[in-house]
Amino acid sequence: MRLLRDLYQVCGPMYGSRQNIYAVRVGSRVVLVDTGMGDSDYNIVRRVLGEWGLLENELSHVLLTHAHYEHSANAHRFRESGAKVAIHEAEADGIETGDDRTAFFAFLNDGPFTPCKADIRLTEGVVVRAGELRFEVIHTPGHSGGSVIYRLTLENKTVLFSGDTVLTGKLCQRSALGWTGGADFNREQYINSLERISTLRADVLLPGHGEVCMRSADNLLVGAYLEARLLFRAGPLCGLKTENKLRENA
Amino acid sequence: MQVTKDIYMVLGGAFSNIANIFIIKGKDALVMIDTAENARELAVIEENLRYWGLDAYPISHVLISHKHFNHIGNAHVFSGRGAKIVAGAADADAIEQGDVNGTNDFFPFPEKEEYVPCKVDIKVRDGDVVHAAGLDFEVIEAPGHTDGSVFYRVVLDGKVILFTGDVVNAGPYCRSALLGWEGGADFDRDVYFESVRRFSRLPCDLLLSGHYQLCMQDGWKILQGAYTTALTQWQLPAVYSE
Repeated sequence: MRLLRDLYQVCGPMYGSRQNIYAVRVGSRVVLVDTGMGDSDYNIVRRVLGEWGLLENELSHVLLTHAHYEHSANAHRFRESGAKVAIHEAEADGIETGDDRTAFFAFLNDGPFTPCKADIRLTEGVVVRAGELRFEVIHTPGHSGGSVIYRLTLENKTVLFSGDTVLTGKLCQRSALGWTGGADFNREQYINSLERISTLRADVLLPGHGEVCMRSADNLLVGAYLEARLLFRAGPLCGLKTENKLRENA
Repeated sequence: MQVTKDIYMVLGGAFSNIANIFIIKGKDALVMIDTAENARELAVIEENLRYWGLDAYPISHVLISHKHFNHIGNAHVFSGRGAKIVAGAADADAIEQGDVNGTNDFFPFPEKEEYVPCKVDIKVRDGDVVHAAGLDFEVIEAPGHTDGSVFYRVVLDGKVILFTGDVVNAGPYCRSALLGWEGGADFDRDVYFESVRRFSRLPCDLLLSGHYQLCMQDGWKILQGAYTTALTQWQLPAVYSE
């Protein structure tokens, strides 16, 4: 699916996958955000890139939102074609060694994690430049220690690649939170990260799973902080309700 | 969003809206699938038409999947601009007369505006072919959700594309099928079941439904899945569980 003139969704629910992967065209090159896992996601990405005439374009960067298996397991395959792999420094060793930070243990049927060199170790505020495009790194630890959101301005729209830090509910009318079962999940960090980004302006929100949201994404940022307060801080009944919601979204 | 080279989604979940509205770009003209309900939604549709440069082309036909208000509310706008309105014969009267029960004008559309009745220029039946913008859209009747619910089938770049309205929607990750709302005045479970059984064998690549998830591959699996859903939801209520 072509979301904007130079922005594509190349894997996701409409292709039968649980993982969202995005491609941004920068002149004759392509930047990929997340990689999916396994042959299935890899083949979907290649097929969809081909449908949009992007398969022969040079893949310049793979930007990982975090190290979890279903987002990073195919990074090594795209790196082989020459892409530079970028990930937050808190998780760079995770993908280089395939340690617990990849949450490999949650993907029993999908084979061992193939380690991948991290060419670029990101920190808060760093800008990854690809051609004239600037992907600004917003470090949002919590879902995992090195979760980041990439902020990109495209055609005067603010686009956020939010990984699993901010997920979206049905019809983009609710926000949802990411999985809380990672080895380096941290509830306090998560809620603090969501509070920090709740006041950001955004138009388009592209999460690691679920529905892409093309308008008024700032509402979803505020909504995610609300969901976190309900889930992590409110009374048991309130929390239970939200926890059920979280399960529905998982 | 551009779904394929010639198909665009100009309203839907990504725009915080319940109705999926599609545009097919044909030869020097556009074909629209459903219209959504009100002026606010119309504004989003028009914004997307402009963004993709589609406003340079006329909308020659609007193909209505069925008569419910959230699919037809803006039909009169496009009719006024010269588009031919196409709908299943059994749903046409309600669209033309604004029958409150037929269009479900009272519920469940909280943002509803006054329904403006709209002439249906082409009233279609099973097997009819609508020639629009140089393309052929085959009509497949699928009554049950409403009497006049239809699929529109078009083949583009070798792929079979079905616009299924509310009769069959895809579940999460295109791994299951959801059936349409059961509250319509002429909803008929037995008729619906027969429709599901019949279309479950149809070939389909892309399944583009009136709500929720699009399926860009293996649409036939959703059609088959609808049969499973109908059986489990309707035939075996005693043993069905989530």
